[in-house]
Amino acid sequence: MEAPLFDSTFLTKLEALHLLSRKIFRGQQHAERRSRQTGSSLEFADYRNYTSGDDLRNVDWNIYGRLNRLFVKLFEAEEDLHVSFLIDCSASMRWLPEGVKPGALTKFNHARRIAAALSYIALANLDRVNLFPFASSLGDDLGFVRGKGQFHAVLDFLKRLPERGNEPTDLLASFKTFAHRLKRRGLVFVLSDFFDPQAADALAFLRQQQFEPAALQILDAAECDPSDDFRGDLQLIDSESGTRLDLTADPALIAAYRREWNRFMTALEDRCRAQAIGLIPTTTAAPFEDLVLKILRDRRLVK
Amino acid sequence: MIFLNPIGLSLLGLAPLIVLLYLRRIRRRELPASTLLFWQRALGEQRRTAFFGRLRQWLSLVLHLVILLLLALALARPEFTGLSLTGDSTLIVLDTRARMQATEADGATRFEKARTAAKVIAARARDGAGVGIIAIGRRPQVVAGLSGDPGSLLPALDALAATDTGGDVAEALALAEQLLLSRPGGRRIVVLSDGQELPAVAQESGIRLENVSLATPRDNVAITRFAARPELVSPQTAALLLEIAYFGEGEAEGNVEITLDGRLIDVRPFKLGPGERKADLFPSLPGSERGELTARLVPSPQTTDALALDNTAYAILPTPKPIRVLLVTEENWFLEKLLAADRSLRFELLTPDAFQPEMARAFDVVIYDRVAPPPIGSLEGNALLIAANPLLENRGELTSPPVTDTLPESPLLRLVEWPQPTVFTAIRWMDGGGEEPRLAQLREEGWKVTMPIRSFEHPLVLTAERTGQRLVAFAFDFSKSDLPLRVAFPLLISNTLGWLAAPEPLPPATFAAGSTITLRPGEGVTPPEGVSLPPLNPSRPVLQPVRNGFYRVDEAEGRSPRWLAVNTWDEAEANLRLARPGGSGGDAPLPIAGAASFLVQPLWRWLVLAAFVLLLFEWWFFHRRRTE
Repeated sequence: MEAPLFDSTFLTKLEALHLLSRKIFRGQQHAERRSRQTGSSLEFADYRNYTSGDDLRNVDWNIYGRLNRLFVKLFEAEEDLHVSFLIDCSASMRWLPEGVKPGALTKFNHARRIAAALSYIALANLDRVNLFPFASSLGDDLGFVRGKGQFHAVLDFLKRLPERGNEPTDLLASFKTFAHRLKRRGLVFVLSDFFDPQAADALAFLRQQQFEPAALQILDAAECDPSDDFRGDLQLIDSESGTRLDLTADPALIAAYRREWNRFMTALEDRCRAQAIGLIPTTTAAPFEDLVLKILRDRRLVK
Repeated sequence: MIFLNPIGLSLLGLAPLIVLLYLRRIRRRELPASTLLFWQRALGEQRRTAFFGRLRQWLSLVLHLVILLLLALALARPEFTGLSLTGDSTLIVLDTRARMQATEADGATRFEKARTAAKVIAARARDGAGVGIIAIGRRPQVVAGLSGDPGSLLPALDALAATDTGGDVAEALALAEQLLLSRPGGRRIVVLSDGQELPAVAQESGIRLENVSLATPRDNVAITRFAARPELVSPQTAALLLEIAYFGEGEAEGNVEITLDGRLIDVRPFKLGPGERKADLFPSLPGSERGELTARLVPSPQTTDALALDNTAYAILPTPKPIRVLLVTEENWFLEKLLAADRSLRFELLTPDAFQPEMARAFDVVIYDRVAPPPIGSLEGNALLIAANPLLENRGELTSPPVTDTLPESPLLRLVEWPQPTVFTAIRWMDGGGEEPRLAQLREEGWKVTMPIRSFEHPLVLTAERTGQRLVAFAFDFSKSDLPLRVAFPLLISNTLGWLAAPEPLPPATFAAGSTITLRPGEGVTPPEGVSLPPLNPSRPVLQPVRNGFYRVDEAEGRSPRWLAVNTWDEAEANLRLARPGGSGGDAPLPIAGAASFLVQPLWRWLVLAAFVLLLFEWWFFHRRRTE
């Protein structure tokens, strides 16, 4: 990442955004999010019976006057949010169509920019941010950081993300490791092309593990419509496994490809919708600023 | 199948090179893909297509090899054994007679079929196997001499068309035989006609004769006669004779329409059985300016009529030219009224004072009524002399001479029932008693003298004729007899003027198509619309019309034009049932009787075309998907 990820104008805009979480997560420090754990905020949460040792200031004397029983008022505690970014570092994310200049934007670079932007937003809102690279397995993470001052550490980590070799993407295995490694649940952004037959299962797994996953599917336009780049007798080489496949890309095969592509995408969308997982497909051709400022807002992931 | 250029097959030696190039060509292009997930699934969906996809690569190689094979075969110039003209001089005798315009059951005319068959042969002409073309018509015509160049033969065939003429195939065969006698090697005459029996060619000539029929027996209804002639009792009107014949096995019915100068004047229905003929008379047709009579058969839809040509016939209405008559008289009421009433005359009246002898040149007959004519030496033209005679002296007067003798054979008395008129006085031209010396003298001078009406030895009417001049002299003044009051008077005068004018017989106005019509020098011809004629020699114009219709002849010297009617008039052309399907003759006749049009082109051209089509197909099937 020789070029700066963001300019200062863009960073200023991001500061005004707030991360939107559909659930309340527990946190160790007060932040700008509500937690299920009752605390000392002004928001009333519930009653419970008085036990010895409770703060008498929280006893509801009005109820005692009517019922002659002691009840303690419970208040919601405002806590910080744990935001994790799972970034696909597999070879398929670095793939570029034939004939494209080497400096062109890959899916991987696109993912890193999105992760950096969202991280900045989270840090600006005093949330805790962590980055997890993965491919066939989960890589070493950054560790949770908090505060805008840690943004440079996030950028350094993103710059130093290792290139994974010819290994197939395994989302489920990587997410299992992730769930095992992370004690606290929270918001999880998965940035990947999801070219894994078990991609939907993996996202559902995160949901089952009480995470709130958001899937950002990053694609290349040539993958969506291969008719311009794939013609004639070809020997296709899989970017991850190196597997070779002989085929003749005629109109009938291109049409069959489109049918399979649509079938896969529809299945992924249906599964995400069923699990209440936000799925945002985008391509590297889409302007980056629009993606962050508009698409995420439309999806109500930020406000 | 034989090969005219077997060395062309050596092109097949390039086949290994094509296989080698092909094996190099089918190396696939390596292309990295982000994932094969969707490609594998798509291929799985198209497993059957993928199988054919693999086959397609090899199909492409096979197609290339087939293209090479086709080109090699084309270079070798293959030919079907039956169609080859190896070592032959072939003369195509192509029937262009009217019968070849008949349509066959498939809608094509016999001539079109014959021409296609001729093209099949002509396309195979080459050096050492020349082909010539002779057309059968009224006279045989060499359309193209023996040539080995199809490029000159095929256009000649294209320019050829069936004519409206009849003709004799024997003349064409004789001409073909003469042309072939000087040719070395195998010689052959191929007659493309309707299969009727051919006259044999001389056995010693060694010429093979093949009779190829492109025809089947067909039903036809035709006009076989159509003629007009002046009516005897009224030369100014004409009678029309029309004969229709049906050459078929069923029944024919329809209408006949008669038009005069384009105006419909009569319509009559007809109904004919197998082989039946029917003649109709159309009397009292009035004269017209052009006199173009057209008879047109309109068969009913149920009637099979294979030849449309003979459904129309043409004739010219005979219109005699009026006799130009000059009457020189002080006054003759009867004669003036009579001449004015006769429509066959165009008469003018002059007083004796205004008459000049040279005026006679502009008239067919000059009537000198009680006027002394010029002396016989200066008397010009034909003359009717009333009470005057320059040939005989006036020798007195006859009083109430009775008519004692008449010459019924005289043209003056044709159809005249002599009324025995009363003649009060007549001029006596002879003395009587023996041979008149003056008559003998006149005979010596070249005059032929007759006396159609006599009173004893005295002529009351005398005719005299010598080369280029006729005279009729009446010995009595009409006003001194009751002849003008008699019914016979108009006919007598009409006969007299008709004999004096001696109108030239009307030239024939109806001709058979293809006949030779000799015209007068300077005459030009305008053919019917849509027909072209070769230019005429102005000094010796000869017309040979091969199309039916009206031809206008513009006469020289400013005379009014005349019209000629040309018809086929040949029952041999109308009777289409004489055709014999199939063919006969020859040891191995060409299989061209049912020749398909593709045989017109040599086989090698079709091979090249097939190679080109395969090349296009191969590109579409194999190469196009690379660029799509």
